[in-house]
Amino acid sequence: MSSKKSRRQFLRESLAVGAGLMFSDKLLASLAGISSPERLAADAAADKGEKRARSVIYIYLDGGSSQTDTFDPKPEAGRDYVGNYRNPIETNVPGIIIGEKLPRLAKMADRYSLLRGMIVKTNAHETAHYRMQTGDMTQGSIVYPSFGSMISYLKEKEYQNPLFPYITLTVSSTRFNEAGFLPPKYKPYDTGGAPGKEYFDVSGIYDHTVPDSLLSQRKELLEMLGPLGEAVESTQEVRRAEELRAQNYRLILGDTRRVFDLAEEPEELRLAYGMTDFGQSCLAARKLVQAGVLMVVVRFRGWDTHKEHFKRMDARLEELDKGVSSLLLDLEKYGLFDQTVVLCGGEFGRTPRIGWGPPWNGGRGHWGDAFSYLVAGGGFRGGCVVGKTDAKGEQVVERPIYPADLWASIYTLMGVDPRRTVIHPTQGEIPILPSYGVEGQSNGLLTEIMG
Amino acid sequence: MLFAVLGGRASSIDQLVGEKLRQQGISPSPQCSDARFVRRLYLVTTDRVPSPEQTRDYLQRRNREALVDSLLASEGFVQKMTLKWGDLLRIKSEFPSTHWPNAVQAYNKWLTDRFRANTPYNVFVRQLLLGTGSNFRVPETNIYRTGSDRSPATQADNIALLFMGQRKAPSEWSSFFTQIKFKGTGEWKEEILCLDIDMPAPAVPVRLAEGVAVKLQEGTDYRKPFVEWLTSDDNRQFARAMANRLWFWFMGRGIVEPCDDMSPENEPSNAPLLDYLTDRFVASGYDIRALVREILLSETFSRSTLSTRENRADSLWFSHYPLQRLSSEQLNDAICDITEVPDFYSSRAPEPFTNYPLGTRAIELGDGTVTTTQLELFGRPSRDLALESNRDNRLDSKQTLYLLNSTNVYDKLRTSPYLKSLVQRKLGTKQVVEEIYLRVLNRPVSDREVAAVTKWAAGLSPRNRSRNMAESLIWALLNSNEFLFMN
Repeated sequence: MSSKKSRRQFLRESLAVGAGLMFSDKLLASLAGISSPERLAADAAADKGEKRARSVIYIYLDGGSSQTDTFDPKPEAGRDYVGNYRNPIETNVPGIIIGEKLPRLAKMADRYSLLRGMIVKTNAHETAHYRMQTGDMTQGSIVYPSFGSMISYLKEKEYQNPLFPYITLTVSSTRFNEAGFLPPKYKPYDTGGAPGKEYFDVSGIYDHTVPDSLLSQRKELLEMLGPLGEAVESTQEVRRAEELRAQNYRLILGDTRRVFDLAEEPEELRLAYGMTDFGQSCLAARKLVQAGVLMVVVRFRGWDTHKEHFKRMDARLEELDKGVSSLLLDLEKYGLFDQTVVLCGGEFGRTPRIGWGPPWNGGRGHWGDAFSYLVAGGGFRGGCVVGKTDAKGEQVVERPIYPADLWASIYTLMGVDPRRTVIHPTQGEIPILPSYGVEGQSNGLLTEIMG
Repeated sequence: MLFAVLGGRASSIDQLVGEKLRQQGISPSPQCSDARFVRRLYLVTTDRVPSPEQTRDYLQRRNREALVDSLLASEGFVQKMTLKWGDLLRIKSEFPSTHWPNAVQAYNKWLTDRFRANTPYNVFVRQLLLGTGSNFRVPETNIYRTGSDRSPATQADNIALLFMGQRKAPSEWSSFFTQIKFKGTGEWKEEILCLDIDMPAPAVPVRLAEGVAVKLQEGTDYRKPFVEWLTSDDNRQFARAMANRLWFWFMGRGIVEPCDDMSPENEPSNAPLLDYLTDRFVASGYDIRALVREILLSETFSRSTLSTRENRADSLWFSHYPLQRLSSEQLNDAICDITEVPDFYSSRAPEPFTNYPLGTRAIELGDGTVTTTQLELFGRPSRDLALESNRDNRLDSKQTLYLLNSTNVYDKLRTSPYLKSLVQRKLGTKQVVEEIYLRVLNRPVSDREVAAVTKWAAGLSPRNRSRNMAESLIWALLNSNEFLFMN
């Protein structure tokens, strides 16, 4: 959308087109939005005092973010560790300090907790991505699905929504196969496009260069030519292709796509999130969980700062601070906070000790032995710190937390037994979280901040 | 053992398929049209749709044998075989194969050299399984260092799956792989496969199969006697598994299905046919091209995908050619070819990122880690598993949505040099429509289709009408079932 005005105009047009076609936008809107049956069920559950997380927003700091400069500052460790950020700041929770470039988040530490005992035990990107996103550290021959793919699979029957259950803003990392042993349809849907730009083109759903009038004309052409062409055997799959296209057109020309229309949001709110692709992705994530999507990954790239770390951090951290703080407030405002888990962290941390010499010139390398995650909402209590690192932030000295513990806790909050099993195509029945409960790969649920 | 000599006459694929169909009381579908044949043949042998010139050329000459021979001798066939084996050997830079680009390149080249030379399959497997040394320099050693679990039992299972079509190896087979050790080097992800020849040999002979055992000699490579037996004519299952796999690759369905689950309980749908193919494969000296050639020249291969009233229910006996969605790479490369807009590929390992030369085709990537949204979306194998089912050609709603309305597809149409030149040539509507049908669907357009498009185009605004018509028509045909499926 170029501006709010043209956006409204566009919507009027699209609604007019929609009305002329054979589907109900109202129905789709209700499935996607405020008065969905699920939502009503969730409300009912809340009334009974039973809180359950419905969705997860994972702010994925791709490349691995520095724990020292964000959620586990070590001001006493000396210049070789703190670098340019010598003055971490007090938060609104006494005793908790965070990095000086996160002033907005500092004002709301009661809303989130910090996991300072994260361990992934590898410094290789691809293995760390895999371990962090699947929770699997067994090094066995089975490749597991990411949490997002697995939860889409586990909740497939109850998930009735025209939007895909697992969405990445904007492109998945593909450093490992996220569907694991599941079929590829459980992979995340990538929106593509640039939410921070004037137009947010959403792959398959919206493209600003193709007006609705042309979409409809082309749809006619497609429908007209099909029967005139060479006969195609009417297999189940061919018949399904027709159904799928009909479904797709409801998404393309219907009302559901409005969930991606950021121009509908107040200007001040958009500015608070930050008018960058990351900031606006956080805003889009709120809209998506509001519409019932199970798992949204906001993939924030550029944290692999081997060189000129601090120069790059200055910009990144401000974006992060704006995006995440606005997201937490916004979720609260819409009453989504208790049903949405927010996670923020990367595949590993970064070396606490800075490499000052060339070629690094003040850089931090990969560090899988100790790093931090921020968690909030969905039943996680705020204002706490779980786990502790040594004086330099190099090793976990109290309460190690493994990826399996994090996902087991989230499964529990979502009402899924973390010990449940599924069927592998060749290996039979296997646990969804093979490392959970295994010595050296798991240290138990995050009970400190649950319930 | 049943040999494929029936009633005293030499058998052939069509006779054996016909026999089965007669037994079942059904008759086969007729042959497909020449236009369907040329598209199918290019796709199965080279993973490409034919160009308009190639289509036209075949429709004029109609020399099936000449086309089959030229395609089997082409570099496209070598690329296709390298892709298929790359899937089975799980060639991938990063997790979980961790071949790293060095081994990926070397491994692919090793395969390509062998398929280009049409190395007999038994020789190929012997070479593949007996390597020692650096995985960067002796790339075949990577077969033993793919994935996180390198235990002897896992090695044996992998070999049973790849070369015997069996999901589990006999437990005794582990003994042949106990000597394998890996030694790191100073180079990231380089490892040297060496054999621990001091490993004590089992006291008693190790069982290979029913009634066959071998006494391992200390100080020798235990893999050797195993591989010799595996690839010998005595081990018929070795040839039988590959014959079934090749049939699956070119016919879309195994005689035993799934083709890599050949347990005794999973019976072939046509046992004499599988026996015949196995015999032919062994008799040819394990010549892959020769067996593929025989399959491609059979009437069974060139049957229509359309069922008749009486054979509609048949999905087992090849009365009609199974309809399949184009594979992820086929679809991807076809859209690039049609629009003349190549994709951009880049490898994130090792840093800094390496870009592939522009114009690289998806089938040439050779690395399961190097990918794009579209390739992932359409079920390109993850290369995490060596199962044929790891390639998923099923249609889902994200795929149809992507073709209908994605910025990626629109960008290809918008920037297409082909479309630009087509419009500049200022042809009449009929000629444009003819050309586009031949280009996208590889067939002549019908008069009714020309009329329909012409009528539809009249509704477009006059501004840029010819451009809009051409672009919309390509878009519509890319979204048609005729394009999406190998008809």
